[in-house]
Order: sequence, then structure tokens, then C-alpha cells
Amino acid sequence: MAAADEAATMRAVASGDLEAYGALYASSARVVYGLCLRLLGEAGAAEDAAQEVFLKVWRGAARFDPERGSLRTWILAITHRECLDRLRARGPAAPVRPEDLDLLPDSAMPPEDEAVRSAEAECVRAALASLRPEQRRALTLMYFGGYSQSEIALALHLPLGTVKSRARLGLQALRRWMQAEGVGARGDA
Amino acid sequence: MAMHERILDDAPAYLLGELDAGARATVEAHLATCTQCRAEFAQLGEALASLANLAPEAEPPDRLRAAVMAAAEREGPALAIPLVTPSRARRQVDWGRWIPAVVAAAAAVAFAVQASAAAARVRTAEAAYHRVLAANGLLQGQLAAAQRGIALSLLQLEPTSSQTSAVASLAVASDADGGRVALVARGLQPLEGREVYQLWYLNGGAPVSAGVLQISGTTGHLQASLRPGARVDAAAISREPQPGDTEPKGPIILETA
Repeated sequence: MAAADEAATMRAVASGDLEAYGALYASSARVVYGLCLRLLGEAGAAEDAAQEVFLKVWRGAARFDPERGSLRTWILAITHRECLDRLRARGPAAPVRPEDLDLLPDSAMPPEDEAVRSAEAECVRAALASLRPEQRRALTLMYFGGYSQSEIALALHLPLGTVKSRARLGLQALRRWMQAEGVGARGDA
Repeated sequence: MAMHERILDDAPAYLLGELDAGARATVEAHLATCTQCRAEFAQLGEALASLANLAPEAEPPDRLRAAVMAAAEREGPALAIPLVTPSRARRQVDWGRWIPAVVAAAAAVAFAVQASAAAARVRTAEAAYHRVLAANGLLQGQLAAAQRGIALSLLQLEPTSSQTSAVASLAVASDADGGRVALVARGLQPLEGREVYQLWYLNGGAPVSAGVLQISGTTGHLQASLRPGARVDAAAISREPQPGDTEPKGPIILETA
């Protein structure tokens, strides 16, 4: 969807247009629910979180700014934030275990025999695989594990500054890859 | 290390909502003045969000759609503050600097109305305002506004008679050059004929019209600009027999406590 269309959709949603909101739900429910399920690991919790995400989209529609990114990105950021808040509310995160460090980056990706993956998912997979292992580890532990940089630093016996740099350099490398491949900047939501 | 580098090192934690309030305020203060870092953060945000594509899509249960639509319908429209486009910002006053304040105010208004509609009505506007901001992380918006020299406040309007259950909240963002107000009212009675609901604010004792509410069902919305130097000491909504009056002629329905 072009930026102007996305802006128009969200103006309609902000003004209370239930039809526009229903269409937005139809086009984004699978990806929102899928991310909730991946992060929270349980269908009931994912359903609750997804419902809250859509309520936040409804309430916050006026705050969507197409100049700051695509609608898909905006909704996924809300989804991710909601799930992380719920993970954190479950109590202190379990300490990062050595096996998590090896397993998480791969378990963050669906197995080969999983249902058809989108071209965009394939591209992100390739982009992530191209990162230096320590950068990939920092990013995936943060994004999919919900671990804070301090927790990662503690587990890896690294200075916090090193973890910050790794996450930032990894993210910048990911961004360069995505731009070179022409994806990510403006997906369909 | 250059300022940009330090700020960029915080980008992943900022984008994931991990920074504490102090560190977040430092990042936001820098982003408010540095277009280069703002653009970089937007692109890094896209890259980070792209990781979500690795989570397999999944079909939610059918009841989720019904629950989502029912919640939206029950809640009614969120307050829509149109974001001012850069081209318009160049032509006129620097409206761009109002955006964080007014957006924060809009969100505060939407939440405050829900809060007022609930049985436990908060009596003082100040308490309601801070409760709403704190509950929704909007102190950041207030901070951003304060850094630009913009005062942000929220007024609660309450019914003048026990026969109505209407409530309204008015957000005011202002500085010496003028300001913006945003209002949402809920539970309004249907109008008849040419009647309108009109918002008035008291500026040094004299009522000034802020305009006529746009009505959708039982909900009313209004956004308006304030003249330079205008102060909003108190506000009221009246039910006017017709639009266009410069002073209230009909009954006052809601007013600030």
C-alpha cells in the first residue's frame, strides 16, 4: 500500500470508520497473531495480546505518521512492544542459558518444512544469516528472546557497551541488506 | 565518541522500548533536533520490524475478529488530530513543533474520557491529567512539549445537571504564539432542527467561541486554534438553537468544575 493510501486508511480509522478498521484487521490479523504466538508461545496469551494490539491501533490511529515508516512496520512495532510488555510482566526473565545462545538465532526462524514462507521472510532470513554471528545473536536475543542488553551482557561476560555496539552494527547491516534488496521499506499491511 | 554515535548505540534498545525514562528523553531530545539521526532511526526501525517476518503467520480464531470489532464499536472513534504536513508547515507558522504536544494531548483526551465515563470519576482535572499521562507513558509527550516551550493541560468538563450523563475532556497546548485545543465529548443527547453544540472558553472572564462540535452519534469532536496570547481559564459546552452566535444563548450542558 502506498504511503498516501496508508495515511488515508488510518485517517478513516481515526475518525471511527469501522469498515476501514475491519479491512485493516483482515489484512494484518495473520501477521499480528503469528508474531504474538511466536513471542508468547501460547494460543490464549497470543489471542489476548492480539486483541489489545488492535485496540491500540484503533485508539492510536491518528498517531500513525507515514513519513516515519510503513503501516505494517507501525503495527508490528506495536505488536512486538505489547508482547514484550507481557513477557516482562510475567516476572524477571530467566537468566540467559548457554544453550539459548546457540539455539535462539535458529529457533527464531521457522523450520524448513513449515508452510510457505513469504519472499520477504526469505529475504530477512538471508539478511540475518549474512550478519556476523555475535551481531545476529545480540539482535535475536533482544527481539525474539525479550532479553535486555544488560541481561545479555551479564550472560556473555561482556561490557554493556559491547552488546550495544553489536546490536547497533547488526541492525545497520540488516538495514543495508534490506535496502539493497529493496524490501522492508514499505511492505503491505 | 561523537554524539550521533552515542545516540545510535542506543537505537536498538530505544526502538524496543528498553531504555529508562532518562535515557529515552536524551534520545528524543537529540532526535528532535537532528534530522540525520531521525532518518537513521526510522530506517533502523524498519529493519528491526522486518524481523517480525521470521515469525510464521498464523490464522487467529474467528472470535478474535468479533472481539476486536466489538471493542472498537464500544469505544467509539478515537480523537483524530490531523498531522500537519511539512509543506503546510513551511507555508505557515511552524506547526510541526505542535505535533508531539497535540498528539499527546489527543491521546490523553481519549483516555481521560474513558476514565471519566467510568464510575470512579476523577474529580480534579490536574489529578486526572497526570494519572492519564502516567498510565499511558505520555509524560514523554509532555516532556517533548515542555522542551519546545509549549504548555500542555487537560480540562475535564462535567454535566451541569444530573439529567445528563455526558462527559468531555479538553486538551490545550499553548505558548506565547497561540495554541491548539482538542475536545472530545461523549454521551451527548441528539440535537433537533438547526441546533448545535458549541464550545466556549473563558479568556480573562469573557466567553470566546472555539467553534461547533462535529457530531457522530452521541460523540462530539472539535479541534481549533487559539489566538496568540489567548488563555483557556475555563470552558463550557452549550446547546445553541443555531450555529454562528458569538456568545452563548442556549443552556450550558457541560462546564469545567
